[in-house]
Amino acid sequence: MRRFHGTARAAGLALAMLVTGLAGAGAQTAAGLSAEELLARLDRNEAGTWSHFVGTITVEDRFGRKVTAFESFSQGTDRSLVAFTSGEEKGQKILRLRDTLYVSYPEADKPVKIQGAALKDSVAGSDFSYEDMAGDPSYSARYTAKIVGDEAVAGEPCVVLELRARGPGLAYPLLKVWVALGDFSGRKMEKYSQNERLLKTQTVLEVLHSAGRTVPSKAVMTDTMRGKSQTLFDITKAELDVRIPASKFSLEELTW
Amino acid sequence: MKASTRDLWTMALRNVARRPRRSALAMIAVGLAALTMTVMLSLVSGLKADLAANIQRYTTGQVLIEDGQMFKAGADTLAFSIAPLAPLEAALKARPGVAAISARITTGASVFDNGDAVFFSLMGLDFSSDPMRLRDFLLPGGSLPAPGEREALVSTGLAEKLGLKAGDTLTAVTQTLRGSSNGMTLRVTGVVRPGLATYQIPWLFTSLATAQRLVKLTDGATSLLVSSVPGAPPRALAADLQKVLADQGRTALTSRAWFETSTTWGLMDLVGLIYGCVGLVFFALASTVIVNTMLMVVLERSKEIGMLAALGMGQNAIRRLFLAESAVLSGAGAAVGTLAGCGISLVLGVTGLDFTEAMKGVDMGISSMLRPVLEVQTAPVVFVLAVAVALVFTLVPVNRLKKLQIVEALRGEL
Repeated sequence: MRRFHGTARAAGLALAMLVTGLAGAGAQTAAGLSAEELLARLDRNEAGTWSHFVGTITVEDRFGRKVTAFESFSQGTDRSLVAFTSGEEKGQKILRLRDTLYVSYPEADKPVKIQGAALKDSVAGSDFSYEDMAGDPSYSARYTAKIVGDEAVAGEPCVVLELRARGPGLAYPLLKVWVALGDFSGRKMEKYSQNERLLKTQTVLEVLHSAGRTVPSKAVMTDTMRGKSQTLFDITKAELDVRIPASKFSLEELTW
Repeated sequence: MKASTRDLWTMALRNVARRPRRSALAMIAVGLAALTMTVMLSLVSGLKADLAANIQRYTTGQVLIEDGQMFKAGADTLAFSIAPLAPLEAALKARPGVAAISARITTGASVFDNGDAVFFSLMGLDFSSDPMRLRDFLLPGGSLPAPGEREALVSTGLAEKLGLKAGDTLTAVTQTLRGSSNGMTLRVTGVVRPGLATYQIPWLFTSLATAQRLVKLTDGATSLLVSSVPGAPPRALAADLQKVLADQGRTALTSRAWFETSTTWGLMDLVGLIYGCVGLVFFALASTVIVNTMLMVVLERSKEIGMLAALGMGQNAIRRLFLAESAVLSGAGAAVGTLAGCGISLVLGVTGLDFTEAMKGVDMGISSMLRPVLEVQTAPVVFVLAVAVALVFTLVPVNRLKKLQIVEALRGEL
């Protein structure tokens, strides 16, 4: 089983869509599991796995429709590299080394470390922010969980978990996660502010199977703060457990 | 006894000369008020001229074209950008009265310096046509960035904050039109110190083409500054250009004369009015000295007044005599004071008044070096006002003569 957030991070921008821990789905069911146990399942790390995704981000906002192609590489949940290969972001890359994000721009001589308020900036004009890519990947460490209901997402029966921050300082003090009963993967997530205002929603629309595992292939995200805006993540190629050189996840890599 | 006007003035001059110290005091009071008023009005004129020049040079040209919702923009000016630019510029340039169109992109940007984000304002502009004429503010050793190149000028504020000098580089990160981020490494070609406090805080200036690439605003800008041919009235030109905008289907855009864009400018008339009122108070205060002088004169010279009345001089003639004395005192004082005020204003107009320290951090669109402007009408207005107020105040003691009883006056009991 993959972690909900883990995959999103692992894929870098393949991201929010890969929102879910989808792999390995077995015949397990959620019956009899407590909220904390469900969260732990959701949270389980895929340390040591590699992934390579190719896909597109389609942003629809007041300017119209914009499609940006990307390629991402990841190693576990600690390292990921996303490179944009078309559109106005072509040549831009984002490297995540644990909690640190670096962005390289085609016309910048050196990578820029993204921090502070800049973390709230949009990634490639999408509804996804740098903040969504950063931070401690462990939900169990940061949130307490409570089962608040059940609801199907894209036909998949899910348990709805309400996650509340254990302490201050988190970008999203309240989360709601729809965990698939079949594979314990996350299928939908709502992110709320301190005053419980809905900030973002991300929903997995389709999944694909690769190397015997299940991967979200299409997901949609909306940022309520951006007005009429929606971002569709579409994975067109997924390679799991492929060996990726460690040098891929280095600052030097950002300059090629 | 009938006294001619000439006789009255002769007597008035003689009486003024009879008490030189008291007369001098009254004249000095009026003179100081006139001097102060002249300098104050010149300063207001200087402020207005400075503000008008600054608005047009730094912000608007003679006419400013931007999205009508730009005031809502906050930091997100790109959301209200003007694109495409080329056809609109061509249509605007074809209008009579338009000398040049200069497009600008203004937005926020940051540099990540040793782990800290340093925020600054970024402007993309055409260095050759923009009315700001940044070349004038280049510090020694600097040069203007080339169009489209990754080059920039930095204000002294940004240079000091980041320790930059000509030849250094910085990587600016900003949001693009569609909310993405973009970064660009720019070589600093020079440091500028514009004369306005607004532009001495951290600013980065680069060519319009470079800024368009950085914020991904192809063939776009956030504002258009229209420079008019000499003599073209801004309001009429703005109205004409508004029709062009409508013809082009750019109904979201507004065309405004420079003085319609600044709230500070709207306040200047009020400032002038307040200064005028303060000046009147000054004159009134100065006139109390004249009132006092004339009151003393009327009381001290009651026997003389009684004698004049006994000899047949009418009450009106006697009142005119005292008014003439007041006119002599206030006229002489106002003339000297106004002339001195003119002299001071002219000198300060050349040397300037340096408010750099006092205005540090204050952004009112006014230069830190203020130069009073002596307008043609200032001196006559001040002179006439000074004399008029003095004469009005003189009516108080003179009106005592209305109930003049000759016998009582001869006894010194006026």
